[in-house]
Amino acid sequence: MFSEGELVTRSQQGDLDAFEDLVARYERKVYTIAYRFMGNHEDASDLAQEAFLKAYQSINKFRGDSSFATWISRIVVNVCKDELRKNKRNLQISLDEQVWLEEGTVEKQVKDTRPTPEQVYEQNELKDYLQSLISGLTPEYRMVIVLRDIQGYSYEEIAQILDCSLGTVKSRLNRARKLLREKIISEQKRGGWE
Amino acid sequence: MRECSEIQELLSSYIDDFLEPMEKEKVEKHLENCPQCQKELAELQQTVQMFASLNEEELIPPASFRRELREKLEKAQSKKKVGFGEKVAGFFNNFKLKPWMPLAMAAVLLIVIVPVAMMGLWPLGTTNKEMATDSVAPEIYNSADGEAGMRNFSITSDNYKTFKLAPGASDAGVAQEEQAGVPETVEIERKIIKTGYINLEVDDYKETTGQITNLVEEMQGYIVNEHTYVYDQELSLLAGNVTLRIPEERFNEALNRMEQLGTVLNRSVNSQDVTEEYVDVQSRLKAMRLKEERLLALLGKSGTLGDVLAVENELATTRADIEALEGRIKYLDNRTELSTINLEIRETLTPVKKIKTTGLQGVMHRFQESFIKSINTIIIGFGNFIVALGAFIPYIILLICGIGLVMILWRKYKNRKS
Repeated sequence: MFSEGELVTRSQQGDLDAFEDLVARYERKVYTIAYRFMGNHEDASDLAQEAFLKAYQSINKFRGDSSFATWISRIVVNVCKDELRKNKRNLQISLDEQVWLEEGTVEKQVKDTRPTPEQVYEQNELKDYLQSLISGLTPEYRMVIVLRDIQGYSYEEIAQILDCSLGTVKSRLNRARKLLREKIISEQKRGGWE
Repeated sequence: MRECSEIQELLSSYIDDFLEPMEKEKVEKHLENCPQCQKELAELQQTVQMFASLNEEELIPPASFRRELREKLEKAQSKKKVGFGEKVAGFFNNFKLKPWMPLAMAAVLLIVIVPVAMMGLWPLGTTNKEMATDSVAPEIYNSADGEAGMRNFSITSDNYKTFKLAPGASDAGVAQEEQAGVPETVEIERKIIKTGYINLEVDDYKETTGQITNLVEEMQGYIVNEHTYVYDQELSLLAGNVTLRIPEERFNEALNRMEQLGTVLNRSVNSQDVTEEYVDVQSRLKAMRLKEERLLALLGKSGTLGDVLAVENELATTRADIEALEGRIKYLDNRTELSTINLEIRETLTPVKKIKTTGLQGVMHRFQESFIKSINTIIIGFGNFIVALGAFIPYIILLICGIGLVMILWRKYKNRKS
């Protein structure tokens, strides 16, 4: 097994297999980020692939200033960001399509607590619900929520990734969280989800 | 409650512990006394935690993910090596009109088209030059030989001139006296002196001169002079000049037949219309004859010895003039009735006597010639190509723009569709 550094060096020399090793290491992370942004598997798959493709094409620009994980995350975030900007018009439609998209077979992750089938179902339902809430946000809010609350990036990192000021990150995050909270509460009141 | 909304703005950052110490203190103080904001905070925290739970889960990409990615990567790798078309497509895809672009375009057009336009003129110029030198070369060659012939000719004509000049000088004066009295119309017949020049290269000099002698006799002409000399001591090759007189009506026939005798290096024909001079001389002659008659009549009358002597003197001059004029007439008649042909003959090595290297003699030269010819053809072709390119560039630019536009539109259409 090669170290990450070696794999990167070999990828830079055009070794596709070495790069595939890197893909194997980070595909879940990248795919998950993409899914959180896009809210559906088709787009997530496409964008994750696009992110890796971009990474491969510009691997020579990777100087090791940050870890490869950070670098590839940043690429996928940027890819998704661009995609979200491109598809602003389609937002409403995709929201409808995504909300109860039941293709959970692949992503079903059984926890070590070994939950009952109902629990698994509920858990997935909750996750799908949360994902649908995220997908209902505008791209700006969606991005900060995904980066901060799901991916756990620091404020500084988010500011860097989104190319905006710390203040903007703060206010956007604040606004996004409030929006989500209000949505959850209103749903609860309607008795939709509990 | 103004404070509450202010605090609520900070709650999000408070959860993340991303507040300045001052702000944090303020929020905490407020929260102690404000159940509303406490509730708000709790709800917000709950929300954040809910979403954070999504982080625990890492989704697994679909089974086809890696296979598809591998295909894309391989495609990208091969594109890296080839993909010019893709690059162009990519260029047009990412193409955005920036303010400097029209300027740059204009500059490029200027840089490309102006030299091409100038080059378009350049190859034409060279070909003209080439053609010019091509045609000039033999001219120089000819004139070199021609000069020799001309010299030959001018020498002979000089001889005639001297022959003519002595009497001619005096009759000019007499003619002036007499001309007024002789208004006569002479039947005008064209008098043309034809002179031909041929430069021949033959295999056997002696044989050729023999043939020429026969030819001249057959045509009832004669050889004026013949001069033979050895021009190449080593190979004892002969050369010579022959001047012929041939009846005017057979002049062309004679020229053509002589050309058959060897390789013609040079040929020229010169015609000189002497009708005017001929008529002039004739009328002067008539005037002189009248004057002679009158003088004879005067002589018949008796007078002093001095008078008689004076008349006799005058008569003698007049008769000399008459003879001179008659000579001129004869000369002109002769010249026009018989045309002159100057032949310059040079012997080259005969194929029988020695191994003939003449066949190879020109090879290097001919090789050079054809080589240069081909090069010139290529240059001309290249020039024409550039000219054509110049002519097509505007269309090509239009075409590229058109293709780019179609590509952009098509991509957009495709994107929208997908």
